[in-house]
Amino acid sequence: MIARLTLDTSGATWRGRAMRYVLIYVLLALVLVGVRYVTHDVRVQLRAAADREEVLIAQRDTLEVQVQALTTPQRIREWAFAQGMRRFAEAPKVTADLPTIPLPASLSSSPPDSSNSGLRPAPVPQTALEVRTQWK
Amino acid sequence: MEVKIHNRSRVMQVLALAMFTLLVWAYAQLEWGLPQGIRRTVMQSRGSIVASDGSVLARSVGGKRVYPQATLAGQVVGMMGSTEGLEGLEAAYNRSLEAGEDLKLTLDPRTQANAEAALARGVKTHKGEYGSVVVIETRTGRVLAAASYPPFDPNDWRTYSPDARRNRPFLDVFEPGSTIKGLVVGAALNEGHTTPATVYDTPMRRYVGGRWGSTIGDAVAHPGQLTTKQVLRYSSNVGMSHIVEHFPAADMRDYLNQYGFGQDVSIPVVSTATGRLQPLRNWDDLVRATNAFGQGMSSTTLQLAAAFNVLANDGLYVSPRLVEGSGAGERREVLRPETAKTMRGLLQSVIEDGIFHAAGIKGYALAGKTGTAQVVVDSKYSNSLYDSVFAGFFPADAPRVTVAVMVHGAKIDYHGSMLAAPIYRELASGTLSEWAAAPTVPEKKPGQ
Repeated sequence: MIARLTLDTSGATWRGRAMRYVLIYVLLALVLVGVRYVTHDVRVQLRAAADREEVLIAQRDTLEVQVQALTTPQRIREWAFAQGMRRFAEAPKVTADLPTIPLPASLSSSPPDSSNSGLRPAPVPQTALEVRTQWK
Repeated sequence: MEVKIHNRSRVMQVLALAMFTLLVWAYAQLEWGLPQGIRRTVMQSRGSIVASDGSVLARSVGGKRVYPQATLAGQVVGMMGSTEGLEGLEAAYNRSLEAGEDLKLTLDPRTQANAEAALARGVKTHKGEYGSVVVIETRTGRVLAAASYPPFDPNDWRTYSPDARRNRPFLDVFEPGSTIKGLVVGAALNEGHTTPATVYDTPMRRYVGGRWGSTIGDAVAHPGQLTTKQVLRYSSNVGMSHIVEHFPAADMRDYLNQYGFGQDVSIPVVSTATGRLQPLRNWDDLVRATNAFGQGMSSTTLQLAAAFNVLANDGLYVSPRLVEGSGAGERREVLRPETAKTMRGLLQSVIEDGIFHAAGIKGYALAGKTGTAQVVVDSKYSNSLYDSVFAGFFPADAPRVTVAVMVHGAKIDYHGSMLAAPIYRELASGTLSEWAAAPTVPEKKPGQ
């Protein structure tokens, strides 16, 4: 037996369909409008943030340039000479033989050797140089 | 009907006038510069120019091109117009900077500042017109400083004359004078035409060149006989004429060429001058003699520094480099390493035995040669206009940097030993101090 498909094209069916679709569209539109309403200030805030970022970047760049301009090698050089800097190459230098300084008897020059108990090695004199630097 | 036509023609007139005004405005925009928005975008996206230590020499901030180091290497960096570079590296590397690429230079800001300060002091004290200094790293040829005087601040470029904007160490040509003697003696030693101890008869004046010759003379009083070492020490032109007497002209010219004179410096993109060597057909005895003391040829400060670098760098010529990553450039052997070493000793003696008061620093081995060149005015050598020149390197026993100095038109104490040599010494002092280099040469005690 062959089932026969019948197409319902009555006015009542079409009305029902139209009502359902319209309702769905209206609901979707309401959702969209609602979402847009709830997030309406996001875009404004993003734009404001972008503007603020631009201003801050400009400030940072300007400050960087100012710092670079204030710390150029010429300025540092002039300042140092104004403070009485003398160049190392031109500063008078003296030479002297460094006397060897004997270590205090209580200190040994090498770690204690456990195998050689009882005998302590004689302290070896050590040359130590103390440097004091003076700015100006 | 007539009224209607009249009204329509009025409307057409107003419309035509409005369109014409729009056309004038649009043309004015093109003529006076592009609309602000485009200019700002082009400027902001432009790459920076930085020195070898990363300090910024040029960058874009807020749609404007700024040069934070102001006059430091101003002529080398150049400047920007509305949308593109006009001079210096801003113009030479315009394409890559426009593409947003940064440009890293070999310049060392502290060496550059030292060089500019020493040059400015020398030129001002001696009432010179202008000057230039080049410092090259010996082994690599990297240009550590390229200073010009008078100074130029690209932030304010419209207030400067074209002369102040000129990158003098790369573009100004001059006769290098007696500095060339160091190089010619090096070539003669290399070819076996002389030795440091060869003795020459050296009267104060000598006629050279046969029928079309001329008399050459010396400025510094010296004994009647000089060794090659003393010829350099007393900067004797007569002595030089003897040293090159048996030097075939073609060979000597070729050596000068190998040192880099009379040919383009192999430095990409950047504008440099070539200088001049006379064509070989002009090389008679007189031309050979005058070229031996730096007359009748011309060079830039950059070329002179690169040539002296051959002596410092064991006889190897390395072409100068200004931009990192722009290729290794040329390398060629000009002298044998032992010849270069001998020359370093001879040039150290020039300072230690001759001009220590002007170019030497106690405890440090410095080497170099002075030059005082008369300037050609109206096809004649002037008796009142001089170029004061010095070329050298340090430390002499193991050179790290090579220096060339030139000051033009000094009114007071214009001799190379009085003006250019002290500039070299001040620069050497600053650089050695920054290296914190310990003295290596023992001081001579009285009686030694």
